[in-house]
Amino acid sequence: MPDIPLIPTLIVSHLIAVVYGAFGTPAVFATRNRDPQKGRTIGIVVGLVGGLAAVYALWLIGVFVLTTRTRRHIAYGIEPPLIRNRYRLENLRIMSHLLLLVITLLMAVPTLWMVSTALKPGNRVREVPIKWYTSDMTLDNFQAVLDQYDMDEWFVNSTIVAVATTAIGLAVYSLAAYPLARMEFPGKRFIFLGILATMLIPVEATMIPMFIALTRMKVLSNQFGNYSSLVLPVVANAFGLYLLVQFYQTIPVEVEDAARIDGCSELGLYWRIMLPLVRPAMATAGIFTFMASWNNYVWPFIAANPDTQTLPVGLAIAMGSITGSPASVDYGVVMAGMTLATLPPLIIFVLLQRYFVQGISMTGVKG
Amino acid sequence: MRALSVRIGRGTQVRVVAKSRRLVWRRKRGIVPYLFIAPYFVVFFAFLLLPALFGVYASFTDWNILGSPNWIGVENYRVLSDAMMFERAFKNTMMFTLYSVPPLVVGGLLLAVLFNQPLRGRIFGRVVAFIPFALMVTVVGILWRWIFDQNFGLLDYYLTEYGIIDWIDKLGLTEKFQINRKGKIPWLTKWPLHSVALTTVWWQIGTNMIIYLAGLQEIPEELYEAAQIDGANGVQRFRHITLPGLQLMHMFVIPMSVISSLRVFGQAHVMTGGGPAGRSYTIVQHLYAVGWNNQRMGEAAAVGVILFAITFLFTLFQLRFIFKAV
Repeated sequence: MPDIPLIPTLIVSHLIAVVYGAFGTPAVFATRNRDPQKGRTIGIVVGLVGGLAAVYALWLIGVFVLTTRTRRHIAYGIEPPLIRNRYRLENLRIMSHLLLLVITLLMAVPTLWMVSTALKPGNRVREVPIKWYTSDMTLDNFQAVLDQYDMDEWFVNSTIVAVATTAIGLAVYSLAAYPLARMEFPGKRFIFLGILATMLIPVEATMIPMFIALTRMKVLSNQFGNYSSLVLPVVANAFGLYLLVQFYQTIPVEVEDAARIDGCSELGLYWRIMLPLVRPAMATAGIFTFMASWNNYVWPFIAANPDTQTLPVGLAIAMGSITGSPASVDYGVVMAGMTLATLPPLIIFVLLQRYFVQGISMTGVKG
Repeated sequence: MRALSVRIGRGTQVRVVAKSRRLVWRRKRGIVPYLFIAPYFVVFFAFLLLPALFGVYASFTDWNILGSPNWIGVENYRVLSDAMMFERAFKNTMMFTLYSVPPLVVGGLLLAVLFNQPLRGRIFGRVVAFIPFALMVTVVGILWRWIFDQNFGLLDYYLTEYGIIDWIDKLGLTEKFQINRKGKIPWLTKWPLHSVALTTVWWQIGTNMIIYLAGLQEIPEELYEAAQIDGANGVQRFRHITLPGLQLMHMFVIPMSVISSLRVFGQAHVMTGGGPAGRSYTIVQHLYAVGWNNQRMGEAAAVGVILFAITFLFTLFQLRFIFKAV
């Protein structure tokens, strides 16, 4: 992280305030005031004074909050770290915090907007000026989406498919990754590299032959076959396997030796020693597989029966993006459906978030 | 043999144990590793490898859904090289990759560096930045279509509200930004590829950030301290320690971002449907249109093979380049 020197930062922040005061606020005030010229003048004054005041206020608050540690050091009679560069350092910390705040806010805006729209009553959804919060927010849209569409059915289907994919995926990945990471056998390199290379194949290209073959075999026409056809192609994706291979390799060989000296069989070694040790990586691979399946769009769009329709496809059809025009869409209801559809992976992600970051940082996705 | 090896020095011990174990393996293991791999391999073979190989074969035939395939050589590829729509899809996809990959990679890296600093609220920031990854492509597409909406969309609303449109107007760039008579920028009709790219960046940047974050945590702190003592400034430390230290991450993030951008489908399909007038029509959309709407499976398979070839070349090239550069 580069150090940002104090003076240029101050100049830049003043410049932002001045520019915004001169161009931004006049326009806003001009549209709001009955006399545009007068509004513009008021806008310039408000913009300049307000902008500068805001910059200074933020600065003071920032300095106060962020020098807490340094002041505490001084109070305890410890020399604060890097006292020579203190102002530069604090300055950098303030700028970093501001940046963090702004970026976090920007990243959050679309999601918040989705929830906000979902909670608005139908007639206020397309209201201008935009309000993020209205006093009459309701859950009507959620009720409506459940009534109007087969949300519940799609939900059940998506859950069945995603859970089955994750379970089967984790089982076969953890089995296959074990010898690929920890045993020597003829053809190992060839098999592993071959599997990795298929990650480059666009799934959209394999869909066509797969669809035809499954249709000819009449697999897609019965319910179980259709579910399996939604599950297995996602399982075939090598990403989870790759992740687990990397993780198995980090386990010290002594663990394996000890177990083997005690007379453990290969299966016992896998089941009793390795599986418990790779749990964080299993969580990571599990999240990736679950999300890949839950969010899978193209293949279910082609393969799913009306009976096994999953959420992404159902939502897209409900939205009319495939058949209708966007003007007639009731965004409040659609956003409610989308919020519902987002909840399960979000909850899983937040719950497993710790494992997730740990799983990646321990494997380091090393090549 | 094992008891003996323990008493000898470390190097010897490893060698003897390894030797003895290899003997045991030969005798005992045999097909065991293959049995472990078999369940995955069956699924992999049936649902990935076989369809892929068949796709390659199909690209040389005149196959449509109903009839049986007849070998017609490179005819499909010749048809494609003439097709206007394929050319457009190819150009659009390349442009989209150009718009989306640099922000995805550089932005992801900078986000990771920022969220790796000892700042208050960084964990919260990480989670927020990663949340879009949990959204399904349909949700992302519909949500951003709503944000880009000309009349009630969030983006145009704030651009007007905060006087940015006015400002552009004053600078005389109305034509350049394609501002319409209502004083709005019609994102989805005038800037379709850029809009889809922005959406993609928002959606995917968290994934790259997490991977870079994991990489940053593996770079030893001592390197930075040593560099600081030697008088290296922040930029130099970033250039000579952080960037090379993340080489493995670059090898993963850059090709993966390019691959997913070359394959863009869902966002474009939901947001613009390839329009207006094919201006956001991508390769996979072409594959989809030819294969499913026109039922010319052979030609669609040829598109798939070409896409694979492009992806493969790109990946090879990038891995070469990254190995050399860092």
